[in-house]
Amino acid sequence: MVEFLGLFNYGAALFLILIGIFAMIVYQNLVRKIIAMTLLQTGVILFYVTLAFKWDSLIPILPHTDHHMPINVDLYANPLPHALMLTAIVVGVSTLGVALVLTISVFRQYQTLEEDEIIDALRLESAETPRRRSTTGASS
Amino acid sequence: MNVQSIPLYIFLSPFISAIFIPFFYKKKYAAHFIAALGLVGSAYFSLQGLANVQNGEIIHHFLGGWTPPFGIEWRMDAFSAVMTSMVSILALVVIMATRPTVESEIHHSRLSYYVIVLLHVAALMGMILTRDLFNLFVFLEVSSLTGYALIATGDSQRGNVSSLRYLFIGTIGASFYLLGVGYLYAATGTLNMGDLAARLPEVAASRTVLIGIILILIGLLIKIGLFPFHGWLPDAYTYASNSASALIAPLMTKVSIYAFVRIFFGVFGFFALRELHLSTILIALASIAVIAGAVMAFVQTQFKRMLAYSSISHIGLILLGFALDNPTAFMGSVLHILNHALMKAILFIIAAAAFDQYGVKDIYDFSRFRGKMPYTLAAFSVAALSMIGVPPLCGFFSKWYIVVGAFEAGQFWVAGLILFSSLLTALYFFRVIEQAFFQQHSPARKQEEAKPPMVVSAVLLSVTLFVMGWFAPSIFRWGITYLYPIGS
Repeated sequence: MVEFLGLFNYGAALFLILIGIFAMIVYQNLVRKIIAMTLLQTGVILFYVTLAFKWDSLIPILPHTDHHMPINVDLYANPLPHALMLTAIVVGVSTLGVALVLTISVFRQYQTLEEDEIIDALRLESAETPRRRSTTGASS
Repeated sequence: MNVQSIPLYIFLSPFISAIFIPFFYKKKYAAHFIAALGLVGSAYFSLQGLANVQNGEIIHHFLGGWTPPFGIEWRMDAFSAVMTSMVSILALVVIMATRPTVESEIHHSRLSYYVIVLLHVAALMGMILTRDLFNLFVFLEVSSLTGYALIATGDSQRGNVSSLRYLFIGTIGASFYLLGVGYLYAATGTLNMGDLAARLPEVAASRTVLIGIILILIGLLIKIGLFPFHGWLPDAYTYASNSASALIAPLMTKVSIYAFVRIFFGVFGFFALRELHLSTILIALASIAVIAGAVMAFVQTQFKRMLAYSSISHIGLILLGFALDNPTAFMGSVLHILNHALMKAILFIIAAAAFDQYGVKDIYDFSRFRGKMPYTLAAFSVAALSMIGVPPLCGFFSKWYIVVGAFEAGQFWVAGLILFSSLLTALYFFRVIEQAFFQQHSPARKQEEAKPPMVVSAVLLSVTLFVMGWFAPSIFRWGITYLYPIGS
């Protein structure tokens, strides 16, 4: 049972990651894509946090007094993945911010959030500019 | 000066300059001046570092004084010194060259443009110098974020769309990389590259390590833009403002390739290359990239888009050299990183100059330049001939060493493939040369050269191509001794 619960968390992380990638590929709406991107990042963060977890362990803060006592490592959760994930969360938030800003400016230009409509608009744009020869794959 | 701190100074000089730029928002040229100053500092320290490590010494810097298994280690050896020197000097030249185009393209955010440029270069420096897998992820993301911002600069709205697409693809790549690092951390309990390389053989056979390596491979290949993962690259290079693409195109993918080599040769070593048949897979992918990139470049009509596909082809060539897994091809690829960065810088500066002076984007409009921009076109021809690989220029030597390496590895068809790709390169560049030199367009004979900074830097860089060609054999011999054994 304990083993199963330990694996369950990894399964959840993997599920989030796969859902994220799937939704980023399948959905046309830019905001949905951004939500899926956040899911993907959250999945990775969950994976790391699960790595740090141990059954029956405490938060990794040592009491002030017993610095010279040998420390039983099994009593404490691993602090390093948590520290790493703080940074990864910050990176994720800034990515989210940049993505939202770009989405806003794309929406202002094309008045739509659907990617296929934006691609159509782009095709139209490049068709209007005169070319001597047709381009292959110019707007994909 | 304390030698131990050189890696830190290389990173800090652009980083601190970036912080200082907003204080001088009232002065018109202050941002550009401070940016140039920061990059000069970075280049100075890089060359200092190069002088200090040229005989195989290694400069260690432990951030905060924490030694490797616990703290973050920055290390400078011959390879990283060469890369930091190249990145800082090229960024400086590009900044100087594109000052006029920045003024004409970027109207209300010129200040933040230079801040982002400096942060981008600082992040690239961090990627080159760090020896910590997670630290590398952070710098990878900072360089990518600033890269997205740079691609979205300029007035073209398409820049925003291509930047957003690059952001989606790049985030998937970064998440894969981070997940792979997590797998390796779970298997070994360390993030330091040297430590990881020492601990990996014990657990090498486990499935955890295997999945970790594959995830890191996919993540990095997306950032590099190798052929099946290249979807973001052409749009990003084409629709970025001319100033930004001149900065991004030569540097970003090259530094990602460096990180790839660092991890896959320095850490996973021969385990990954031989046991997982990575060498074979990479050779196959890179061969497709070399040919497909060149063919796609041939059918483009936009000059910058052609250059972008040519980049894909040459990225394939560089990875092909690394995948061949012998000293000659390895050094050929290192040389090709340097040469290709130089050539791409020239070509994108010329693309910026062509658009700035005559509004020309299309290859078929290059005929307008006939007799008007002699120096720019001379620089262009030198760069194009070097891309093709014509002997006295440096592009010849790097391709030559990769071909020799292919023969040494017994992969004769790879050698043939590289020669064939040179032929394709000649085809697509001669389309432009034909338009620029042999098409009769307008009788106007008045010379209207591009703006001085662009002409001077393009000509200067194309002279550098000759110089690099002259010194290529000695760099090669030096590199075989001090640069090939990059195992940590």
